[in-house]
Amino acid sequence: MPQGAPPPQTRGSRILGTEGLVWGLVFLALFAMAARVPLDPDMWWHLAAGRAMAEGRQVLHADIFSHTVTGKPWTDVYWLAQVAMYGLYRLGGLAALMVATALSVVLAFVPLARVLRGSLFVRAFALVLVAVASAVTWVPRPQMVTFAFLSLTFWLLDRHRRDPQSRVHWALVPLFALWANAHGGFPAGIILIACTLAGDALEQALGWATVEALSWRRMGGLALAGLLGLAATCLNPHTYRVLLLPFQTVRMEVLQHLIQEWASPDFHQPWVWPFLALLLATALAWALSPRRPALRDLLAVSAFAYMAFLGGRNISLAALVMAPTLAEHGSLVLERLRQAPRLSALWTKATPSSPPPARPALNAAVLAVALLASVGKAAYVASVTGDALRQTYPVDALAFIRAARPPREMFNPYNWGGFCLWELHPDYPVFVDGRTDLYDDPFLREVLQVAWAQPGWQAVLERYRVRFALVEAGSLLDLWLREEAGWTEAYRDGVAAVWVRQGGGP
Amino acid sequence: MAGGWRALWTWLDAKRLLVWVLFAGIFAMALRPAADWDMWWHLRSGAAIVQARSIPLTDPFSHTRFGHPWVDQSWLAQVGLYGVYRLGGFGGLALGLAFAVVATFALVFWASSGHLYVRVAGVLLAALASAVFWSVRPQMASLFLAAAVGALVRRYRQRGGRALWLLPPLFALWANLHAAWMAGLLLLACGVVGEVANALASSGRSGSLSGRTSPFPQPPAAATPSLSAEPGERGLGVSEVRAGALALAGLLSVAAISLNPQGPRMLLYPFQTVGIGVLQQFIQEWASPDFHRLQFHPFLWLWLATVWALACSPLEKDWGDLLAFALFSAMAFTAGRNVALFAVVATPLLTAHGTAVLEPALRRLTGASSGGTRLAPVNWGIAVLVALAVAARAWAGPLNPLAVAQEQGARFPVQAAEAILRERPPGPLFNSYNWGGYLLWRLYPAYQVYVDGRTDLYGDEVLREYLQVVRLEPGWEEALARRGIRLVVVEAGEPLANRLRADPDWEPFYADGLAAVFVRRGG
Repeated sequence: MPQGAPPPQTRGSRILGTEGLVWGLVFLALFAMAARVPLDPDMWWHLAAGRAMAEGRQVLHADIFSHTVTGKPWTDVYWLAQVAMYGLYRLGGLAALMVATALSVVLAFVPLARVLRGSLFVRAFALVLVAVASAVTWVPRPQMVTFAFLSLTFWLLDRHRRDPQSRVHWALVPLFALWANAHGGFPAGIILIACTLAGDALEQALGWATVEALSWRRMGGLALAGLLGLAATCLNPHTYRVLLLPFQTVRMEVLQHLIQEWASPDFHQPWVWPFLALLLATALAWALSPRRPALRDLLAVSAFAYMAFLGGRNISLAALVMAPTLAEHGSLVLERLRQAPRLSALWTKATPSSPPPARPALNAAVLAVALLASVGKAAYVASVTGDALRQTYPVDALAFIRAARPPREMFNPYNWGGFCLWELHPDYPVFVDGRTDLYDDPFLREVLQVAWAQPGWQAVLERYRVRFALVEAGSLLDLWLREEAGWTEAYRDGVAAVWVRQGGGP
Repeated sequence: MAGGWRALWTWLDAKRLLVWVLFAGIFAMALRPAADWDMWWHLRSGAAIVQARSIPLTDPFSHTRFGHPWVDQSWLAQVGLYGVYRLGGFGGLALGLAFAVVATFALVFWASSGHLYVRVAGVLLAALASAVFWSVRPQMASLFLAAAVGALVRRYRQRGGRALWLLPPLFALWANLHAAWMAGLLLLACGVVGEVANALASSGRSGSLSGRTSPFPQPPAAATPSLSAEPGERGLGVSEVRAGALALAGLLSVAAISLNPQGPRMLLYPFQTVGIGVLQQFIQEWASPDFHRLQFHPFLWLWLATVWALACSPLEKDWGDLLAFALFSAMAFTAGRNVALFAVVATPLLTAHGTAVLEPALRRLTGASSGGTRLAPVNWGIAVLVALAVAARAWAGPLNPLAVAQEQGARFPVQAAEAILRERPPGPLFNSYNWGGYLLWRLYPAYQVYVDGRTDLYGDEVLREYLQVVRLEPGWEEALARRGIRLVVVEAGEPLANRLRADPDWEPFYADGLAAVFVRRGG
């Protein structure tokens, strides 16, 4: 080794160097952000489905949880994720689900981090921005599979592009087969592949293609892998029906207008602001970059942004798709600004003339503290989960129902349907829950008619032979039942009330 | 003489015909019956100002805010609206709206550079995006003036000149027409910041680091030697001079805004309005656009088209343009009523950069001649047909009293108001928010309203109380009793109507398919 030359970097010194410190802190922060009390309303019916399948040892093909659509064919596209969720719950309860969700978030960001290009801090910034934009969707639900698999798809496409000899694109086939058994969001992967192909084909046709654009041969290989992947999605208990599910879902008006995650984003809500910041930052980075963005990136961001504008639940996917192009062009813009004469003087003053010396011991200590803090947060969340549940869900009201055993059938609020299903099945089938692909528009309108006490709500309850109603304390229906002849209050606490139809009480 | 006619005959070439069809189409789009929710209280206010020959400084129209200070920020526009109504009725108002929209987009068209086809497509897309918010209201003045300020600022930044000094009188006028002058100040601020940022980010040479050409041409280096100066040398560059001029024009404009009946207090008005929580959450035009409604999709297309044009354009980007694009994008996504402002700001960017992107294709398209005298009869024939179609649309719709009455009858409690005026049941009145303006127009001074579209007047306190009542939240009956309400006018299918129908303390007074009126028993 020449005299005075820096010692060669070991793997350990790389991990504990600046890059390792930055990524270590980022991923530990992701874990801490994702470690939250599992309160999502839909988590419960996924758990209930997983339990039913584990106990019955067969996939569900029809509804068994409600009394309003009992026996109706149900395309439970989430079966594999539901069984896994139930398995985790059996191992460690809600705490295990919480930790698994946090770990799945971290794992989902690993492929994305590997795809990012540009300066370290721009890449880290882009990743953090994506995390903050998508964080609201990090819940113990099969949709985490779509988030993780889209990130993986991105990485596979990136490898396919950068290494002309690689055959990683064939991994898309088993990936889609697995995806279609865990969550119905696999069309997101198809859309990403389609945007890649369309963008690169257009660039080749227009003569805009750069060295990074796929050749026609590579495009052909990717297209074939995509088609096989699409065909592989039929390798599930419901076969081709999973392909129809997205089209059924987007046609449902009540879903689109009244279920918050399917509604257009409300930009008055602070949790949406990071998405807006990401969107505008990407647009500005493209405009100012000395390099034109690839058409595949323009198409992908446009498509996913459009989906996000139509349904807030797609914000996380759009954020994920924007990160690589933002990192790339953001770095180019910063580099360009650094070279501007008036700014380069400022830049030189602000940055050290030589890189700071490596401090692996200090970095290791910082990472250890961050790790402790993340684990501590997870432990704290696990300790307060019970109280949080009690404040959000009708825990005590359901205990009353189990004890008092009022006669069927039950009316329940939409948001509590999953929890009621989990706690009361099979004794009390629910009126409605979060399986919006199962219930149709006319039925959901009836649910709203009752919930908002609109004219004719009594007839709806009569038609479904409802004998008792679980309602949110102080809700409109709760107020109306108080005035309505023929109903008696059987239970009340700060969260819920139970009203029993006279002649149908315990 | 014959030569003059011939020149006129051949003047209408294909390009001019295209522009004519564009603006005829926009005119037809803007033709709609005068039936906006808020139009009515503007008309009533205009009538009151004309009759009293003074501008109200306190509220006379509601019983919940009677005597409270009221910033009637649109007094001049209200007088104008009332004048048009007196001259031409609702048809006159509808025509006025259509002409105001055409004037606005003509200004946007004039201010936009680039190929004709791209300008036509861009302005059409902008019109489609903003059409959902065209209504007979003073806010149309803000749309026109925002386009004017944007055009003046761009023109000054591109060519210099003295037109910049039209801004202060423009803002003085704006502050008396409508309160959205903040949009104009934001455009000015973007211009200032843009000049500074361009100077900081430039390479200091006549080219740029990326080799792109600037849409804001720099004067030759000899005229501004400091442009090629090394950083740190003294002397003002063109950018600094322009930034200073824009800042000065901005300060004078801010001072000019104080030239209104409220004086300098007007400067605080926009901040007070956006601070009203209920406004942001529950008033539809202040809510984020609902992209499940097809009418908001042209906004998305315009936004994406502008992003694509900026991304793919070989032209150097101006920091002021980008800042304005980002700011007005955020405003439009946050509140749907700002979509129209975004459209007038984004269109010049779209056309300039879109032309640069499409330039090779456009060169191939526009090689043919305009046709000369041979196509003149066809061009004139099309122009006349289009004009006749627009006239027919106007005659069948907003200029037809029956059609207008039908439209208004479908939206407003026309028959219920007549029944109230006929029978004169005792007040005070509680009314639906959406109908507040109409009831104010019809029933005042016999009845004062509970609430109407003047959300800045009512603030969170009255609006939350209103929502408590219409949503039947706990305490709603006490809220009505506290105000001494004895007369209620609401939509027939609303929960409050259903509740009062079953309430022994209230008696149904009038009902039709649209409205329900209740009076409290016992007077």
